[in-house]
Amino acid sequence: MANPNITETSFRPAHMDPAANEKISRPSLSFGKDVMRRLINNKGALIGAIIIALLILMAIIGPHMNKYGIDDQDLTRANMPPKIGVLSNIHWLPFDGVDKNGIDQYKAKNVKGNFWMGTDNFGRDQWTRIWSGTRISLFIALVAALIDLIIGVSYGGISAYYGGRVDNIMQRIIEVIMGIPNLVVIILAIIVLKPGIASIIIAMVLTGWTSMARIVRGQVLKLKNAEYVLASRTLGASNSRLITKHLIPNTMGQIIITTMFTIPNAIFFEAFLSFIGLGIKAPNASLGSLINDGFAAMQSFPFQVLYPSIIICILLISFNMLGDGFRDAFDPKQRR
Amino acid sequence: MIRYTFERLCYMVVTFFVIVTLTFLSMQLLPGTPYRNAAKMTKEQIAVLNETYGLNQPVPIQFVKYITNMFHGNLGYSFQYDGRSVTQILSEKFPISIELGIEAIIIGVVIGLLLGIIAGIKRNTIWDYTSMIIAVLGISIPSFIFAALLQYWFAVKYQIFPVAYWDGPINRILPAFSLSTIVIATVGRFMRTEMVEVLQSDYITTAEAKGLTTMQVIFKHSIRNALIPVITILGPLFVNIITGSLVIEKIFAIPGIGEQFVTSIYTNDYPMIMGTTIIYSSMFIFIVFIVDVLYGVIDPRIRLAGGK
Repeated sequence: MANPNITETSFRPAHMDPAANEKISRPSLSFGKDVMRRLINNKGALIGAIIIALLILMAIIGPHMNKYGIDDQDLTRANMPPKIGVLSNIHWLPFDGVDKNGIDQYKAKNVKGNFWMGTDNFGRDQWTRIWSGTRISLFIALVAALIDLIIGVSYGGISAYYGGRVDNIMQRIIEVIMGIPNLVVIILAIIVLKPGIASIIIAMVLTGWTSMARIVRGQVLKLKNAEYVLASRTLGASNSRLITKHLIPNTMGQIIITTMFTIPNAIFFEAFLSFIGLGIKAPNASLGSLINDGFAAMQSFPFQVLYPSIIICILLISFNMLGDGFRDAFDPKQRR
Repeated sequence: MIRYTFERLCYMVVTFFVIVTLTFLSMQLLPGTPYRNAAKMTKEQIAVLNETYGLNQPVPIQFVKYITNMFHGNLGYSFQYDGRSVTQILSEKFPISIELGIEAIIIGVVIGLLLGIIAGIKRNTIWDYTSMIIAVLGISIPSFIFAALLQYWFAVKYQIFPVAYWDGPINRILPAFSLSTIVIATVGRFMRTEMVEVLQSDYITTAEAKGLTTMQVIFKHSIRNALIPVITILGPLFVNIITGSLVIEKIFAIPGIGEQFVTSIYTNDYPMIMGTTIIYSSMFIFIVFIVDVLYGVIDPRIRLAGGK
């Protein structure tokens, strides 16, 4: 039934502005911005990124925060338990300079000064050694990941882009390399090259690049047949333009994800090698070699193995969380 | 299928020869002498030893000899254990490593599946979050750190388990468990994803609609279907176990081939290093082969594409 109060005069035509119709109400998000937004919303990834930044900062400034050098040996202060000035009166914290038998080693040995993370069996300051060890571990991992990236991207890119016989031969080579257990190659390479920073990096790169090459190849193969690449080619774009403007930017997501997982893997392998005695040689230290040294004295001085272990675990957990975050950010469908 | 399997088999053989050659050549490049008291020996003594072990012959001849002997099951004689053959030493230690590896895989797969299934069913609850935290920790923390911590707390401090050696069943617990952490984490994580995916599929709704209880739906439909893709991650897990066994055997002083490998590296025992490398690589290649063939069985697309 019609309401008598509502007449035709109650209505007014809506105001129409052709310009407002076309207005974009929200800022347009590029793919990169979208990824960043998802990454920042991911708490785990954000915490991981912050912790990694802090650890990198500590790896840079940590060794210079006290007066002890990385190789300042002094047997009168060997195996001192950790002591931090302000925390030394809180007895349930392990920073009061008291060893596991309840003896204040700093009084007993008449040692001046505090060692924040204790000393090793040569009396070297663990704080300095742990942070310079972190620095070396990070350096090895980052360089190895970078070289993997360069070799992997060029190999995979060339293989997929040119296709045909080139691709066939290059893929057969990769199949054989991937069939060799990387552990065996790494250990043999280090035995031959003599342990050291450079040989660890070389050994890890020898087999490490293959997974990156495979991923890049798969991605490029997929993109190569995409319509917009065909369109660009039809318009006369050169090979190098196609590669730099279309293929590489669209493969970037996969490349970043792979690199984010290569880094913790490299940190792990470095620690692993140092732990079986094929890593960094004294007086330099890496987290792995510190753990190896501390492990020998674990029963008497557990703090020597504890602190480097904690640092390396935090580092690996943070990198893995950040890597997971990147994966979810680049491909929200593939949440694991 | 036969063609695909044959192709994989060819790769296996080629890879194996590449490994043997690489190992042999790198042994030639090794610095130092392989003998224990080399500094105290006269030139004549070293010459006699070189003669005995055939080290005075040209490299290609040594190589051919090594390959021929290898096919007769002879991997040479250890330089460190007088007069004992590498095959003999390794065959004593091999079963121990295999046993440890299998125990670790079983523990890891069982706990991992449980975690993954619970997390998948009780998605976004405290169960899910706890399982996934365990998974991230398991993937991130290196097994040797985990082993060292377990050894310190449970063997040194509270003395519940023996510190080391390989005597009774109780000696197996700590090493097998520390070796299995990565398996628990990987399997758990993977199983959760699969469960979540399966539980959202139409046939689960159908199963519920026809009146099955929740238990029946989970056991008869969800878990079975979620399990299939888990096979695909077993290959990489075996590799992780092999890597981990090297350090775990060192930490717990288990007389397996991993511990032997580390010792041989320290002592420059060329034939031992080569023997262990070949054993390790054969296991690895064999597992990769099996997994590849399994993939082919499960997923026809791989088989038809000729493994490319």
